[in-house]
Amino acid sequence: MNPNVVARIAVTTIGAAALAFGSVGAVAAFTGALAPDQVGTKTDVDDPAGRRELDRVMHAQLECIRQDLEGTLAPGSVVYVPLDPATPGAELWQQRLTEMAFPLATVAPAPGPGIVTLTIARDDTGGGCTGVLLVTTTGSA
Amino acid sequence: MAIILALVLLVVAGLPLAFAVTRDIVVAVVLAPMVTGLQCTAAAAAMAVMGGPDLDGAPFALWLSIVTAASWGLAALLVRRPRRPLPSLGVADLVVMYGPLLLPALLVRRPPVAWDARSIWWFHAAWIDAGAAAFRDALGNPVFAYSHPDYPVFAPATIAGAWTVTSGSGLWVAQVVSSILTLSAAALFAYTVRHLVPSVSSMVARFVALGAGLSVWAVAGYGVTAGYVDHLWAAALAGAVVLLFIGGRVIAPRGVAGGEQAQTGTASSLALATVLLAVAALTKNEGLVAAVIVAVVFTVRSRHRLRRALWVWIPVAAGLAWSVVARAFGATSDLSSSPRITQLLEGDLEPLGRAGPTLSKLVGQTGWFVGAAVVISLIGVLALGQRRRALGLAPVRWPWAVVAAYVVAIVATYVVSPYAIEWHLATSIDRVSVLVVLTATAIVSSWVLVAVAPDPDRTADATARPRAATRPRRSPVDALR
Repeated sequence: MNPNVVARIAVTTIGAAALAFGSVGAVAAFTGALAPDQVGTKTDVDDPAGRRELDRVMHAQLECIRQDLEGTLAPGSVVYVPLDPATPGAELWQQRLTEMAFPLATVAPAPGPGIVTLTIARDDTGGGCTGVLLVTTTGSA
Repeated sequence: MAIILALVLLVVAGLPLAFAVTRDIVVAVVLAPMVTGLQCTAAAAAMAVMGGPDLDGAPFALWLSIVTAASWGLAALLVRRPRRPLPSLGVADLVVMYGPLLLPALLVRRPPVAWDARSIWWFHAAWIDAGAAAFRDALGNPVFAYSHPDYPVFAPATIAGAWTVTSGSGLWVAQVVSSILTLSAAALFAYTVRHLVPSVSSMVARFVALGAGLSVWAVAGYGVTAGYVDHLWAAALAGAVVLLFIGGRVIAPRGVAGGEQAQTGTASSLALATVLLAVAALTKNEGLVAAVIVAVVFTVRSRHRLRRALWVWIPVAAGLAWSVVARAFGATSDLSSSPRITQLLEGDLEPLGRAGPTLSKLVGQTGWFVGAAVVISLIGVLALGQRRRALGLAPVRWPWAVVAAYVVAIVATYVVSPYAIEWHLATSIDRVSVLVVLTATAIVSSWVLVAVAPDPDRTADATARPRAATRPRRSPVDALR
């Protein structure tokens, strides 16, 4: 057989396989998009269903905390968001509160008189935001 | 409703300039979101730089209106000069090539909770949305340093632009806008592959292009529609690589074939490549580094026509200009202040030990794609090189040079990074690998098209008559020179 023809067949075969393999991620994304949320599934970053539940819970928490912030912070407020080791996922919540406070308030690097300190606590009452609660304390002079 | 309004803005605001570049309304619609993004970026930069006591209160919408009006004026000037359009996209192209891209994009329905999206891109969009004074303050606020304030503003500015017409729409619109930008880049990447070898059967070319487009999801697929921008800049840059280093002269204006492409197609490709490079350079710092690599390699390739090479340095200059502006307002970079740079400068080579794990992880992410591209390139160079040249494609060493330089840049980044190597690799190596996979896919696609193309001699005979009858005209980029 002509070596040129063999090379063309080889390139086409390997290339088609590579392009098909490269499309696997897109297929996974499509099936993931169609998968329904299963409320109550154990959250788990390594399991697709658990990951979806984790995202759903986090989104619910964030939207609820955001609404609490909008209702709590007066125009012109200055806030401080500490890294609170007592909070589960402390760094993540410090960042999320910082982001959600902007531009409702000016975010300061340290606490002080009149500055509102924002933290997140675990909610044991059931009346918070899907397991977490916004805590605000205003610094005194 | 908010999402429809955002979509209309993304297409309408950039459409005139996109049309001036492509001269084809369908391709212009595909390109328009990225052109709108560039306009939003210019508006955000102008707001940051020019906002003074009198202008601090001027909302971002005003700056965006001024830049959009200016871009429409520029487009009106450009379209007065007749140019040949780039190859269009028919209904079959849209259905076969782009229809399947929309299916994985349905993942945009997932909640907008990704870290990069919320802590970097949408947070920066909120800075821009808050106006000039707030934007400048945020860039220099030490509390926001974790958010990488030095990053370019292409995606945040576009999202802030969408918010100007969808007030209070929040993060769902942000996620959709991010996704539309990425899909636009993926679609343009597929488009460049689709037209690499005009003599290939249209249906075969469409499926090869579809494979290239779907490969955007090949690594870190979760990020494509979750507000990350890594796939956006990588797909835009991969499209530029196809235009500049794989085809280079093969995106020919309609009705032009064969050797005439060398005269007219190059300029058209260059205009589109410049836009795509600008998107990459203004989206993320890695994109700027990759744009510099492309500019250097293209300058080497065009060393006998340096005026042409100047075009690819415009996006680099724009990216560097933003870097200067951000730092002027106090934005800091975690990388440039890393103690490991000082360590290396003082002769302590201990950080170099981080190169091994980085390469190992990189191979884990990209090995299959790069391996396939290497094997196909070897077979191709040994057996199909002459055929490739006859079909008008550039030597494969150029895209490989870009891949090699980018891999060196990635490894160097992880070597000097201030973070623990395990954590840094675990949280980002998949996303910085996207460009490697897409470029490897483009190389594979080019060889497949070479392999399945009709014999070049027969093609030349068949096109001899139309070539003689078709007089080459100046292409869009000639108007820009």
